[in-house]
Amino acid sequence: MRRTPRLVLAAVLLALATACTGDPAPTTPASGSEGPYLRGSGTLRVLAGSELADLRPILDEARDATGVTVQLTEIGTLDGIERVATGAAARDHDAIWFSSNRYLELHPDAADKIGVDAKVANSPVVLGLRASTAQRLGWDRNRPTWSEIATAAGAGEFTYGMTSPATSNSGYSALVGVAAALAGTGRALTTDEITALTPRLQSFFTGHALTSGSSGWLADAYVHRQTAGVPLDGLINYESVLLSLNAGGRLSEPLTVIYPADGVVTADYPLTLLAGAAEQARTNHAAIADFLRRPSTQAKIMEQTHRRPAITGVSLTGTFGPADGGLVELPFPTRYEVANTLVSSFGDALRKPARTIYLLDLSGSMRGSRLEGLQSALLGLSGADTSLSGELTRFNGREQVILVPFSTTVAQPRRFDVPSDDPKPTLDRIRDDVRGLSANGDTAIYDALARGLELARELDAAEPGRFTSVVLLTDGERTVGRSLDSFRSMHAGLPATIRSVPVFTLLFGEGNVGEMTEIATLTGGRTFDARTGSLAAVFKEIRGYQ
Amino acid sequence: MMRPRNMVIVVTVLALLGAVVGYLLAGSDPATVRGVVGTEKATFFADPRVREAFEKHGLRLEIEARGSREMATADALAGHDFGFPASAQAAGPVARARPASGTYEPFGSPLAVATFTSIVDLLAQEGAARRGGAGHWVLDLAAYLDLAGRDLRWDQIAGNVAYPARRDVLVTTTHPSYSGSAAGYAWLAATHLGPDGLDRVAKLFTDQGGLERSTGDPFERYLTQGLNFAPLVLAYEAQYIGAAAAGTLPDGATLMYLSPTLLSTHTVVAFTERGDEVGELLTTDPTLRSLAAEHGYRTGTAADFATVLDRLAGAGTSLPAQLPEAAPPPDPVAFEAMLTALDQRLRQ
Repeated sequence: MRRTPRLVLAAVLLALATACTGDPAPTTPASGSEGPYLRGSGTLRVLAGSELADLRPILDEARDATGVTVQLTEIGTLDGIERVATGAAARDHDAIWFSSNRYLELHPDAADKIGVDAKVANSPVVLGLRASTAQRLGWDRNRPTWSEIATAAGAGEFTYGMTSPATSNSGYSALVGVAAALAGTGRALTTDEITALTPRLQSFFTGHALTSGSSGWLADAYVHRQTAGVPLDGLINYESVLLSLNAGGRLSEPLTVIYPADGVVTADYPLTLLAGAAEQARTNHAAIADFLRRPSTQAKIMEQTHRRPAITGVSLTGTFGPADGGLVELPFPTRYEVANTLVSSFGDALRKPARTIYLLDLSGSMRGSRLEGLQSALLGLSGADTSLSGELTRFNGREQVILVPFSTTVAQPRRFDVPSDDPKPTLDRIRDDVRGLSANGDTAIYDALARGLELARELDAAEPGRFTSVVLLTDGERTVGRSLDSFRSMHAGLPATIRSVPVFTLLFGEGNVGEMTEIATLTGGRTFDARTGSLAAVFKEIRGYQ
Repeated sequence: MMRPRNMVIVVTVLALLGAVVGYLLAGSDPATVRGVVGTEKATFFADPRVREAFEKHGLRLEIEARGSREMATADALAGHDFGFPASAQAAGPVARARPASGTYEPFGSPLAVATFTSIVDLLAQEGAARRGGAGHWVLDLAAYLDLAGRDLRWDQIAGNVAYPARRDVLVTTTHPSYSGSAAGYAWLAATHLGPDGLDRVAKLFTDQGGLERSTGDPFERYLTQGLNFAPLVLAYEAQYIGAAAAGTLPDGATLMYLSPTLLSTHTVVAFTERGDEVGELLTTDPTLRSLAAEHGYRTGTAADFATVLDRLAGAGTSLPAQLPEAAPPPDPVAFEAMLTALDQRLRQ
């Protein structure tokens, strides 16, 4: 009976605790009923996909509950895979967190690099169409198959935005899903099947009118296009992104979420410890995983980010579909070769070909290491970078690459049309051209921008139907030529299709951050920070947006 | 709803009180024991009653969950007092990766397929499913392998309105190189298909699409997504019974036993004295043994398991008390050789 007094005291304390919790809503169990939080300390350094950024408020709560600060470093899917596979990720990070590990797990060198994981949520990749477009196609009433979606897109019935399969998981999942559904075998894809599917996948990608390296930016760009008067009909993205857009109050017309009748590929957000993580990191990972997978947190993740719960006992709210019928899970490739072939065929054969205009500052200040950095970045895209990410972000077959060097004046553009068969001679010519670049003179930024967009207009008139985008690299302020104001009025006078050509600006050297940001905002592009880190990495990252 | 700040205060108060209560109950600080266990046992070790039972013996468990074969590396086992893979076959590689101070076999669970009654009806119609003696469902391995070998799709089964998906009739498994359940399933298929059948065994995995690394994951998706995730999910009987007891099974859920099936002997591989204590307690402590039975594991005490089955039968789920048609335990050398050959085929 030694324990009796203690038990009574314990019971009293528990009763007090219960009294403190007040009267929580029955659907959200009080955290107290889920047992004490696991504790850690310090920081959990996580290499993460950009789409996880919306979980920051939840991670702030996790810090208060567990004592662990989760530090997210954003990285694209392929770069992330490569850093894990080479072991580089484990040198400065404890864990990885992408929307899925499926591609990573196929990498032959990745298997022994990853440790325990905790699945945090679910979200299928689906199609969202403006309500009026969905009605016109009858898809608000009858769920189409991917095959019907591909046919309608090929017939010009609708346009959509989708992220690049080479840099973002939502685009990759969409590609896997549509390819598996079109193959219609009922089994995971094989390499031979991909070749046979090419014409039908090309038809599907006819409607692809906006690309992006990340899911979050795609949603922003969709809103920008709507405001700029060149709206798209829809988006292919995570259900969570589409539902968040609908809830966000930025859309002039809500998106109808369309769940393809033959299935989807679902992201499961595994927070994954890297092999060899330190003792403290393991403890921190366990504490964060425990916090994220509690019913009360899962309910919050569902309410705030529109992702589906990963655990049982949290009921789905009404916004999740489909209203009737099932949501079949389509098979993901089981072989690394198949996964890679899908991405490389996307670039070389399936996608709408790109027209990429590079405006390159060759003023005097670029001389030396900056010019070398630029040359090495462009050489990498022309085939010198043989890493996985280099391989899958190089200039593609059918792509039109235009280099426009500028300093005091704007030089004659050099245009390279990369053929799909035997691209090597053309890539070699690009490399020769890049090696011959030299720096001298002033900085006519806005003359170059105006020339770049005029060029886009001429080329688009001659050959429409390409993805046209502009990259602007400068390391300093405008010193001669047209001003920003003058460029702004020139831009306002362009036809809507050219006004919506995105300009991707690099923050580099002593470049004017404010002006670079303004150009990006004006044109619906975005800025990329190349002030620290290598130009090559940023040029590869931009490839996802071209 | 409480405001977040109030919630934080309440939670902090609760955590403090919890610590005080824990101290008062235990009388002294328990020692921390770290173990890596197959994910299928994560729910068992997370059960507050299980934790309490260990704390009574002065042990506080810190558990990491991962695939039973995936855990068999020096790095994965470092810093742990014990490993607890899902089978005796998986325990061998664990003990080879790190020298064991003792091994314990506290309980077992046969391989089974978590599914839905509407799906079982379709398989019965195709001659691959039938009722067993105790009223439970049985998946005839030979007939099933025949269906899979013909690449039959669900939408090709006549009159199928339950799941008319354009997907092959295939059991969804984990990766056999990382997970004990998939390795056991591969062994059963390889035994039936014979020495020339390994390509067909490999196809059972490659045709599925992406494979998870541990049995807890697909089963959790079976629970949360139901038929949307997959119609047939390889699992341990214990996972199903545990979910049935917790009331978390999806609508229309049922269990099919593979025939023949394989009994997985969940094996504690201890590396330290405290690890040995855990193995010892799981094998001998009556409270832990009856909790293991409640979580669906077959312990040496038939009465414990019978009570659990009775309760389930009362709730409409009839499962057999006697283990249905189990294949003999595989020879460890042949088993590893088969897995190595299979792994090569899966990585081609």
